[in-house]
Amino acid sequence: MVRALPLRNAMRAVRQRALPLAAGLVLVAIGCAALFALWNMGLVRQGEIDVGQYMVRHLRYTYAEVVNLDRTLEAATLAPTDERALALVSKAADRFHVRLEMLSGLSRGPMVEPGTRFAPLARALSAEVDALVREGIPLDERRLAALRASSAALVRETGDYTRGLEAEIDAALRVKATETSSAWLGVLGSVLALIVLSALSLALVGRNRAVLSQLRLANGRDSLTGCANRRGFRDWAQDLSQETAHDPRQAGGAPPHAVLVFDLDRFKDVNDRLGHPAGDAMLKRAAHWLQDAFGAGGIVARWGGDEFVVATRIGPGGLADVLARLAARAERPLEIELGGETVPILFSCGIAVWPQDAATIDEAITCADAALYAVKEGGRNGHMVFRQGLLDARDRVLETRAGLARALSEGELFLQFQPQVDVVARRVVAAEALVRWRCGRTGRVVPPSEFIPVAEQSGQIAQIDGFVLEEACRAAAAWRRAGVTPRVAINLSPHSFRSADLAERVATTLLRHKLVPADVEIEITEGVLLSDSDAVARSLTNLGRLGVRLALDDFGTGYSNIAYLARLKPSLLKIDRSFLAEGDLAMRTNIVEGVMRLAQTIGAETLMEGIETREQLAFATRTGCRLLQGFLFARPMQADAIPAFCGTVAHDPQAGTRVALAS
Amino acid sequence: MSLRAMLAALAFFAALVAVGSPAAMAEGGTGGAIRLGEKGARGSLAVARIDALPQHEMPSGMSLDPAGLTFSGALLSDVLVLIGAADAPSVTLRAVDGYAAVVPREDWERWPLVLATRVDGRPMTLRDRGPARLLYPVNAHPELDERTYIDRSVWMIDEIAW
Repeated sequence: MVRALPLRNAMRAVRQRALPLAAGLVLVAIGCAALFALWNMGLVRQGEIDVGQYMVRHLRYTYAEVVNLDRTLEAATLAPTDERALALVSKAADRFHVRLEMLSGLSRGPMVEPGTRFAPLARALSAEVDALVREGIPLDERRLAALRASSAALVRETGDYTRGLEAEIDAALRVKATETSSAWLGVLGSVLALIVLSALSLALVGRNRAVLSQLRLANGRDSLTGCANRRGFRDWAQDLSQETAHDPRQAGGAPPHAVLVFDLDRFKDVNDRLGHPAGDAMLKRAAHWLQDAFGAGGIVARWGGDEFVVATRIGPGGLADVLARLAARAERPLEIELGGETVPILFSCGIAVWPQDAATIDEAITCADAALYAVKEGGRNGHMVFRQGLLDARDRVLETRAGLARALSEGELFLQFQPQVDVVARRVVAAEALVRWRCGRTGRVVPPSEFIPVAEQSGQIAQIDGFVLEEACRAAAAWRRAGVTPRVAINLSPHSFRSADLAERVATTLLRHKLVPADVEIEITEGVLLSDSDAVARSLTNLGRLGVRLALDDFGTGYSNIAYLARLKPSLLKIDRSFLAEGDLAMRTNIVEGVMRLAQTIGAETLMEGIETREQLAFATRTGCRLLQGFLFARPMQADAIPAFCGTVAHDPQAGTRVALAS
Repeated sequence: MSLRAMLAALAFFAALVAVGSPAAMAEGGTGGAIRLGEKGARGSLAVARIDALPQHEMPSGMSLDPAGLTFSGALLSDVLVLIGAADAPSVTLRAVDGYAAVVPREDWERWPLVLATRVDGRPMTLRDRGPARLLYPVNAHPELDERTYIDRSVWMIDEIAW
């Protein structure tokens, strides 16, 4: 496989590499967003930081001590000789000293920061007060006054320092508030980024799934049934041929395989009626069974739609083994519950053997397909083993079908008319329109027996019927303009009789060509009657009501329901030519006379077709049948030859036979 | 007279009895406060009575103190028993200069906190940050060298409230 499909594997590898790369990028992006968010969270949730509040606390006590010293010194000026004043000053000095000691031990503050006016002032004051206390009473009033001035200055200095600190704190808090709010924005941004990235990852996961399913497809799997698909089948076939080519044990060639093409019968019907899910269920079930029956030692592939192709190694039991498996299934058909009804799953199957029937698996499939085609031609739910000739038959049909399409579009169809002669009245009563096809490519005139069945299958018959009706009426109108009045007998397919508007179409066509209904005779085969559908019955009733003559073609070859025949009241019974071939003259006579009596009973005329010899003419005349048709009188001819033929018959009683014999 | 006022009065007298000397003020049922003084005046506790308790020594360790000093005094827990605050969940130590700190019960239960009244054997002066200081055994327990405990190491104590 690797050797065989380097390009596909390379593509697969690229896809497989690209996905982790994208996933990695997303992961990295998510990581970055998370880190960004955490960083911002850090900004928001900063631990306690000293923006100066501890120093303010120190300064609170410092301020109290400075004021205390200042007030005490002031009070002492009132009683400089009092021992108790000295004690108070001493106490205030001690506390001031302790406070300065405290401030000096800090890492920052008014005592340690360079350039403050507080520190020298405070140190000097402390030393001088200590000196004053040491000198004792009476306290020197001049020095007291000087100290008072110093202490007052220190009170102002402390206040100023504190205010400066408070301004700093305010500024710091403002900065922090700004940082915090921007951090919130950052956090919000990060969260948004995370959400977007999560959505992106989800999208990636979805994309991944899609790619995976694509890979599965590319891998050769059918997504619905899990069988192989065409690609998988091709890979399998390729592997098989490579294996056998490289395996010395199989020097004699690949082991034979049965190639089976299956078509699910009535699949379209189920799909239309019960919906696609039901159709899918049916396919799955069918696929499952095929896997069970043929999966081992082979491959089951869904070819598309309701078609499956199976290749399975033919074991020692030979093809019979495979057929036995099919037969076993045919005896007990698969069933499936769909929408409350039990639907049988029926297959049509064509079988070919590779390499016996065809050199390649592909050709074997074509062969099996031809066999399948033949199965379908002959009804459904069966299987057929390919044999040479099937392919030709199928090709011919397909060729005919394609040719017909061309014939219809390019006007290769034409009508010929075979006169029907009243030998008693010596006149041409009617001419039967017969459709002909001269193939534009080969120049060959294709007989109706070859293309009519094909057209009936393909649906092209509707167009052909329309053409026949139109052209026949046009010819009849032309005859009337030329002064002769034979009816025109028209053959229509069962398909047309089933369409609801047949009578209407006939009526409008008559009108268009200025004909009356009695100018036209519609021929019905017993097959049409046998189909016994309401639509056909309605068409016949409507045609009868219109006044068009009805002729029963090939009478006696089917199994006419006489009661129905009586009700239908055909104007004409056409006795089939096969009765003329009856060897026993007495029986032949009796049959024909019987038919004629029957015709008389229901009020119909009789016509005998296929009169080719004088003996047949004599026989017909003896039985009293006066309407005759056949080569003896005239071969089918072009429309414009009819008036002349009519003239000949009218003027020369023997003309019909003479013309017939002469041609 | 409301019930609450009666209860408050009852608690007040109970506190008086518990301390053994008149308390300065009563805070709730079990609370109280006592000032440290030189003489055993009303509502105060003579430093001498602290000195009479079992003495413990502690080398200087906290900042600001010059190395090599030896402080001595009673254990805070002993003092609290003395003043009838043995069951207090915490005590507030107030300093002369208005500083105050709350010391929770777990501190004195966990470490031998010393309410020092003497330095190198002599009574602490105001300039020594007396008359009493709370000392944490920071030399023996380095984890105490932290702002929380430094802040609780109140000096110039002149009132214990609980």
